[in-house]
Amino acid sequence: MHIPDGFLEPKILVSTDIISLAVVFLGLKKLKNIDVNRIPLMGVLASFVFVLQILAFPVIGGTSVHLEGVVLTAILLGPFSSSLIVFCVLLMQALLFQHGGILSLGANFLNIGIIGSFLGYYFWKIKPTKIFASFATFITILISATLCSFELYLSNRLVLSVGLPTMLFSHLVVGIIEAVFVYGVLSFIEKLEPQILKFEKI
Amino acid sequence: MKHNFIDKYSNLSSPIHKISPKLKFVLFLTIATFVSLFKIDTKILVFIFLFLIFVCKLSKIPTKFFLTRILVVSPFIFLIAISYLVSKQSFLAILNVSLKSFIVILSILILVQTTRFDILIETLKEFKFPKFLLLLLSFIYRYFFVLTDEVEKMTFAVKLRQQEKLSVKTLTKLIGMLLIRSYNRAERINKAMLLRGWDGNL
Repeated sequence: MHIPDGFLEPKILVSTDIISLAVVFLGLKKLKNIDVNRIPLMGVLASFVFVLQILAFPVIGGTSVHLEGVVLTAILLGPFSSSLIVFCVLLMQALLFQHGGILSLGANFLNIGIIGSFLGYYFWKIKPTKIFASFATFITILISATLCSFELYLSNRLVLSVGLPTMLFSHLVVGIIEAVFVYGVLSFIEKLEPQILKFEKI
Repeated sequence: MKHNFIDKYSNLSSPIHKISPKLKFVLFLTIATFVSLFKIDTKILVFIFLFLIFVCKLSKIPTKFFLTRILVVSPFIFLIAISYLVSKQSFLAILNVSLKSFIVILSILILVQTTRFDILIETLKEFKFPKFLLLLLSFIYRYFFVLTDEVEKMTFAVKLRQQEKLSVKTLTKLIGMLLIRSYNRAERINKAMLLRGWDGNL
């Protein structure tokens, strides 16, 4: 769920924006002296994530679901690279398709980018297998749905007893679909082009 | 294949297209911050909303286009409307929140649809937006078209070979293949860029 502008209270907006900016600057600092060869790779993978988020699958009731691909990039490139990629993808989504907003970009980046990249990556790091990767995907999606509803709740926009179950239930479906996809894609790559899994993880 | 479907109205000519992109960007940021951070009376919001619709009309963006874009936030409004009904808040409060998000969406639309994307990137560069992020953004914009072509080709090929609907298994392989093709493309782009003397700058 990408929160649009206008739905969050100023205190939530400002605090999430500050957290997100801090992570972005930390990431930029980490990636300052990377190999030039890595930049086109990150760029094209960012484009891949962007396309992935546009391919929406219709589910029951006229709503549609799209994959996030955050944990997948985190596993391929490492948490800082992946979080910067997701930041750019979310910014593009907000600018070009109006999914999410400009000032609420911080909140969305915290929910999707930071949680997905860092939590997903370090969870997968415990035991780097495909099963753990899809499990990490599932968990991070549920955590980001919870965070999203708490942000709305703290802005007095949502009653937790109604909002949290709705969000969790809808993201349960998303989480299962995405977990299956991550497992499938990883095993497909492992078979065909295993060197993709061997990049330096920053 | 259609190749400018993202910012397809940016090549029209209207008074709004002729305003300098810097000024448009500053105005957009002012409106977005003002609307998100302050408590504003619903009457003033309605006024700003009508004004922005007038600007949209002036910039020759089709009415249907911006109306469909505004509806992107409808699931959120729905969720919040349910919460407000449970907590017995007034209808006006829902209207206030919805108008706020509509206003920001319209202002994003006006900025992006009346400015060409490369010029927008140039403008962001002048405002000292981090170079690395700009690189990623322009990569996303450039290769988005290429990758959507790739997706179209692959789904076409799959549909030629099988009659029934795409299964989850096929879709996973399709996405895996998209990832591998993106990676191969990144390698080729990297070599081509290095050969032409690129050193990691925009």
